[in-house]
Amino acid sequence: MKILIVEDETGLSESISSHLGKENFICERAFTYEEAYEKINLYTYDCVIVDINLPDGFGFGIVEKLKSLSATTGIIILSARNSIDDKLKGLEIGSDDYMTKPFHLSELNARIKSLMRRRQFNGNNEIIYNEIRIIPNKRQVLIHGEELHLSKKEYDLLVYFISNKGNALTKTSITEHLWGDHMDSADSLYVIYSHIKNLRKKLVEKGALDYVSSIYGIGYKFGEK
Amino acid sequence: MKLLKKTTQYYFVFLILTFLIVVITFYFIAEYLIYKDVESRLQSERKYFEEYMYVNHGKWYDGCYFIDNKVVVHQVSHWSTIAVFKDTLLYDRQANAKIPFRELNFYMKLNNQAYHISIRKSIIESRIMIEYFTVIMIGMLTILFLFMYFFQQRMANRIWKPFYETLKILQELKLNSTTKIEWKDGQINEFAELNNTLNHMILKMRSDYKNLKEFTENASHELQTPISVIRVRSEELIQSEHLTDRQQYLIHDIYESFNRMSTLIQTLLLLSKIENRQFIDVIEIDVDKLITVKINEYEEFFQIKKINFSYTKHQNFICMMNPLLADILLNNLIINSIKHNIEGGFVLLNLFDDRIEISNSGERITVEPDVLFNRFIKSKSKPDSLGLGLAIVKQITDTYDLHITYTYNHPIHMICIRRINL
Repeated sequence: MKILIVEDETGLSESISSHLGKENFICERAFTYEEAYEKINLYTYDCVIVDINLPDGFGFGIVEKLKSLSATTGIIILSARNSIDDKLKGLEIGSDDYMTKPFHLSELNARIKSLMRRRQFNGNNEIIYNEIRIIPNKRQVLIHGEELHLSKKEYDLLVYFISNKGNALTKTSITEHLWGDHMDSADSLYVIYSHIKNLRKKLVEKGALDYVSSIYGIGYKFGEK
Repeated sequence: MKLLKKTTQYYFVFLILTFLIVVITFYFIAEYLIYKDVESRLQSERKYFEEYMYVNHGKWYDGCYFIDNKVVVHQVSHWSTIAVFKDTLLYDRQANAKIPFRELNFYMKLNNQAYHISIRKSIIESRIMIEYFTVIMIGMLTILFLFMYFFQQRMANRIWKPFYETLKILQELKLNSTTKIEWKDGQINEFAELNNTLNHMILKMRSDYKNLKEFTENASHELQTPISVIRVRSEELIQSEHLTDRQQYLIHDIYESFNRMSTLIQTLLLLSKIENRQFIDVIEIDVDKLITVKINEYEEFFQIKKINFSYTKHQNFICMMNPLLADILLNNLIINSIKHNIEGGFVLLNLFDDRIEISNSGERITVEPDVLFNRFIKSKSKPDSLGLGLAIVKQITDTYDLHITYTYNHPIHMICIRRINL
């Protein structure tokens, strides 16, 4: 899957590209409006990540151009502008998602994957990880074909884990994923802990392996040990 | 009291006083002049009378004068040079009533005989004259004063018009707008100067406001990029394998402190944005609806801490607010009630059409209730907390003319947000 990262800050761009590269995405980078404009005219991408503030223009123009070129490209706006107006404008002109800086790589990764699923298979795409099968349309989880009942937050957590399998997830990123960034992280740690405990218990009870491991002081990791 | 009403009031008092003074003074002056005239005529009559007496050797008949008691002569034993005027009332046959006279009393000696003589003159006509004049005077003055009053009213209205126009401009002034103000300068220099001065002040205020706004915007915008880089880079570092435990611990510590810093910056910027009133869009907020959403959001928090939550809607609270700020307000209130609660405690949320009351069980607070809504006030048991949650709540309530109070009645903490009745 091909992704174009339009971001003028090289450090950020490089980190995103290397992180997504590990997820088997093919990443290309553009640092200016001009460059991005040229690239989207020449090639097709499955997903484009656009920063709004570029040295030679606003990312909105790229979103509009992309919309006129190909309807299937997923667009995620990345912006430091934490204002509702920009968010509304971005979504109005056709971007699929909007993220404000600073963001977590794991969150970006989860959003891209969710977007790709919705894009490419009309949302019918299932998430399969060994014995775990998730049907996002129905918010249904099957273990060895048997249904597993999860609460809303437990379900979100499981999808987030699988989207970022093999990566360490910090507690902050999990909190922000589940509750947004208004939550004081100090309060939510205990809640996260209890959600994860319940999720692990439920998964194991249905016969799945215990894929969640905690990394001392940092957070959690999902994947085969 | 309105300016025009006040001036009118003063003017009115002044007019009445002047009126009284003028009328009374006029009356006394007129009376004085009339007396003077009568008295000088009496004096000259005295001379004629004395001449007559000398010529006729003291022969005087009361019947000489056809008006009653015009001149009265008495023989007296003693004699004096005193001559006095006095007022007296005497019976008049024609009028069939007592009428006022002015009387001159004096003595005279003729052939070794002393006489006491009174010469009188009626002043009834003059008195009537005074009364007529006074009435005419009062009438004229009333007309004059009425004219003056209406003239003053019209003039004041006209003169103060630019002042009221300026006042209206100031009342409708928006700092964040850049439209040029249309000052209506009249012919009065002082008002033109006032407008000029105000114009300078407003331009300065607008530019200050713009600078401040730009600073917050720049800070919130330009800081985000380096913050993002640090966060993303440190997350990358966390992902890398073959880290020693010590290295992992250090990285994590940096990451956590950094996250706190990032939240702190965000929150402080949010506070100054609220303070600068940069959240302009307001919509009608249905607080009941919003609370229901929030309860769903925080359900697990209540469950995990075994907090008994109950929400009662007595009436709905509807207000005009920025949607984001309304969201933050309720968020912070609910989080606060959970954070400072005890395991197995309770939260009571009551909604009325004029207030929102949220009470929760909890331990005695270690800070003074007065400073509870200040920035960076944190409970000793929660050192990780930023201590800005309630400061934001306070800032939001201040922005929307809501009044916030905190009361503690062991073991219940209650925060009440009330509409200020204007």
